[in-house]
Amino acid sequence: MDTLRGRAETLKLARLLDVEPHRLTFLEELPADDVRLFRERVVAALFDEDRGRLDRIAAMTKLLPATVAAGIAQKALGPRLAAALAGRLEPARAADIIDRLPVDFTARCCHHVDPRRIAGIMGRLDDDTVVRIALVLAERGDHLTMGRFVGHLRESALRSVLPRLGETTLLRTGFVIDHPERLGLILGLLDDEQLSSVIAAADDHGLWPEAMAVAGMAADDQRTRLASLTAAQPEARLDSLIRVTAEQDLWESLLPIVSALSEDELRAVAALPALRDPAVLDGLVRGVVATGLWADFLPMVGVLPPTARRVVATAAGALDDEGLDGLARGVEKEGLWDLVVPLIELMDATARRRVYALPAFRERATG
Amino acid sequence: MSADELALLRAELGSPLPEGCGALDGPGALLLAQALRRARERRASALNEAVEDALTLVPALTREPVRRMLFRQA
Repeated sequence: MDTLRGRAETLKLARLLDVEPHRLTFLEELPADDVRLFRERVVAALFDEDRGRLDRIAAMTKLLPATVAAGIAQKALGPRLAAALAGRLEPARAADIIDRLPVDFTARCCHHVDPRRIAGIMGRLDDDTVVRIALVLAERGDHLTMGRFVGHLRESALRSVLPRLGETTLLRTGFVIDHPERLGLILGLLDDEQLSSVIAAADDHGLWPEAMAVAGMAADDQRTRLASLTAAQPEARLDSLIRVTAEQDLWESLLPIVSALSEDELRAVAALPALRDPAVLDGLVRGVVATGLWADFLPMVGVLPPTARRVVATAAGALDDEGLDGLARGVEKEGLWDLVVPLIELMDATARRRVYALPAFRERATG
Repeated sequence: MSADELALLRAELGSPLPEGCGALDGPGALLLAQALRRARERRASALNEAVEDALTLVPALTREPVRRMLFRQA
């Protein structure tokens, strides 16, 4: 999950600094929360500069009727200065002016608005204006700006706009949403058929990472729903999900979603052709070692076909001492002994001896 | 050595760096510091330009006093 959050944060910071995202990929190595904090401080550094002058201009606009101020904003200020001023006006006054602006101009302003001022302004715009702005942003493919705004939309506005957005827009916007705690509400407004189309689009348009990120940020009940709807997709789509996960090493994002599946759904996933590929399974085991997601992983191992289970056992048995120790500690911490013992029994004799020699296992045997 | 570049980034940011950013290497910290500086310069220059454009709407006789008022230091 952190990998995908790191990617999203890197995209947001690149937009803010106006640099090509690929130049900032080194940030994906840092904790995503720290990159988010850094971005928030960059927002302050950029938007708090020049406050005095902007406040003076904002004060001058107070003398004008909103219609005149809107006319000046559009004809003379341009989107950047208009957005900077919107950030310095009282939110109600800003909303009053925005209501009188053409929606295309407002949408261009949105790109430049101080993110800290969005909530106050959006809360005062009527739904019709909000929906029209969102549709222009979607048409322009400005998902990063949509991601900033969508978390501030009222439920009534979301109800109007969501059915009018394409699946890929939903995925790309959800990936960069600034207030993921609102995803529960947003997903709740989409019916199963709509969500299934979004999932299918993730496969059709190479957006599985975006879909996983959205599912990962969703609240538990919506994550379970997304997991079930994904498991109901045709085998070829699920196989592609596994392949993408393996290629990009995104097991830490996929496993918590898989662990939300029922046993029957889990069996269907475990039977996928991609999960018989030794290279995929080897990467999966290493991903689990790196992330410690044993509680998410071991139940799936239990339902893998015998050949695949043996491949997992071999990969686990080939782990170095540190990896095996991680396995033992994870199993101990999560109380997963019943699930891990059958896996150990499938390892070769040397690997079994190494595992049982680990302190955690010895203590277990003597305890 | 990344200490100098990190110090430069802190100065450009005008506030402390989040803890994890201490792991940035020299080139990474320098790239961010330069990108932030350029972003500030671009923003300032675009705002100045927009203000000048807006001033063309002000009658010529009062334009200078208005400009002085807007550009005076806070």
